[in-house]
Amino acid sequence: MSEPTRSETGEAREELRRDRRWEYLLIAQAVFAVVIIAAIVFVREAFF
Amino acid sequence: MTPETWLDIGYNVLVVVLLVLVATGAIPVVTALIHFLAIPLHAVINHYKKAEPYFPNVAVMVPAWNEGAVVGTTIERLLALEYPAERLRVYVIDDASTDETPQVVAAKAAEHARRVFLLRREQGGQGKAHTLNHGIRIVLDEPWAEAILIMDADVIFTPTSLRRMTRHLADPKVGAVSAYIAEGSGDPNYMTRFIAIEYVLAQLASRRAQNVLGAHACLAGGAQLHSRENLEAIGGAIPTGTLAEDTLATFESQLHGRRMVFEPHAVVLAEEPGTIDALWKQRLRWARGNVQVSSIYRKIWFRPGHGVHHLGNIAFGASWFSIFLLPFFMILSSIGLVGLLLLQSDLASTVFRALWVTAALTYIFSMLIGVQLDGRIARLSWREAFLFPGAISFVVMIAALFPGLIEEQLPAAFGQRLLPEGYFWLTLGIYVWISVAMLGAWLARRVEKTRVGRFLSPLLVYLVGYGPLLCAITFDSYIKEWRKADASWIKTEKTGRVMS
Repeated sequence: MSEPTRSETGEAREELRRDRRWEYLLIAQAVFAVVIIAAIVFVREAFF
Repeated sequence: MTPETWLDIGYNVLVVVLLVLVATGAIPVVTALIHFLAIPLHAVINHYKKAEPYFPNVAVMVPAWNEGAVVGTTIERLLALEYPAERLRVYVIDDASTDETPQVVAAKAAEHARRVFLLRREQGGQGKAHTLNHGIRIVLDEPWAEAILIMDADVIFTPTSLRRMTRHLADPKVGAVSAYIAEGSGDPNYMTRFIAIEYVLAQLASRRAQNVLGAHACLAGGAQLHSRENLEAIGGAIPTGTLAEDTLATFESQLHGRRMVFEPHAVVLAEEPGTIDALWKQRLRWARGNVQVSSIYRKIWFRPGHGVHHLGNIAFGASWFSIFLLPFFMILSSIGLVGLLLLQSDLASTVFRALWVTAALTYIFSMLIGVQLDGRIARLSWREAFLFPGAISFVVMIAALFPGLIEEQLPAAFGQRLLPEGYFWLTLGIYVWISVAMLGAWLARRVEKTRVGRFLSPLLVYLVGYGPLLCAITFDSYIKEWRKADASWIKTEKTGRVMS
């Protein structure tokens, strides 16, 4: 039975690190969404 | 007490009852908001810390019934996955196909000896779970497989998707992992674009939240990777007897104390229905399955504190029943608003605005999160993201968010003014709209097969919304289950037009 090669394991490890890091973007995305919501609420309160 | 006093009490009680009815409309909104607020927490509450490169022997189970057009490509793509070749075997379970499926698979098995296997059932038609179990039993009889991947014959795994899933099985507490099934039709139309954005919200967004909550409603049946131990623990087979075999397998796995993981970076492409009728049939099956699951597990809902699983979480139960009972909530809310309009129109206006402003902000927040999660789908489906609740509801949201804009400033721009009578009827129309929208969705299906349906049906769906269309299907599922209508498995028609 063939073992995974070192490069396969290395790639998989790098992929895992990358995907894990990507998840931190969720915080920035949520902050962006909150800023847009805040802008809408501001317009509502200020002009309507 | 005088009769007037009794009348006053009755009147006040009625107003409170109507307010409660309106408030039911806020339940799914608030639940969705909480769910979406949990998504950023996935940055820190996830399973990546316990995952590591791991390449178990994987037996891929491909149930196939008349999949001759797609199964050859599916096999070739599976064999081309970036995964150690000798650790991957493909088992196609042919459910007594009447087309060329067995011949196609047999040729592939001859070409890729000991990597591709044909398992033929001479009598089929019992549904996907029975077909899968035929293969699972054979695979579990041998010690080779350490993990079993359950999939659909027409889905396409992207090259790194499998190894992105197996890495979570390095943690023995994980029983199953599912991937992100993205809509991938080669020739998308309005319906597949709506489904694409729905899948972003229901999977990339919602299942991340479920990862955070520690309880999963359903790992997608098109890409469900089980550890051998997990499958053996739940009886060595996929539970049968319902129309939601993937949901049942997910629940059973959790009840046996194993953790479920959704892996958002493992992407699988699938061809989804391109017509209302095809969508209706597919989702009716799912919705009826959910009715059955709600009843089967009636003793676990809203009972937190269970040491083994988190299915009793309040947040999880609220999320499940918000979707399950959404049509009821919409109808009750409409009844409450109309009742209040007749009794106390100012109060009706206040609660309407509170409800719709919350709904509008939740919708905007969820869509802003959703479109950032999958750039390809955002570019493909941005119109459908805007019009997910329907163009009319979109206008109602604008009316609620910016008081006076629609009912006063817009007519004034054309030198018009809304008369009190017109204002009343407009208000009444808006209050009942969330319920009427479901009727509009039903009508869109009815006209789809007529001569004008090709244009009218998409127009109606854009007007009434894709969300109300799903609600109408859920409502239909209540009726079908109540009537105990025929529950035989109806396969979703596929044409093999998944993008390459």
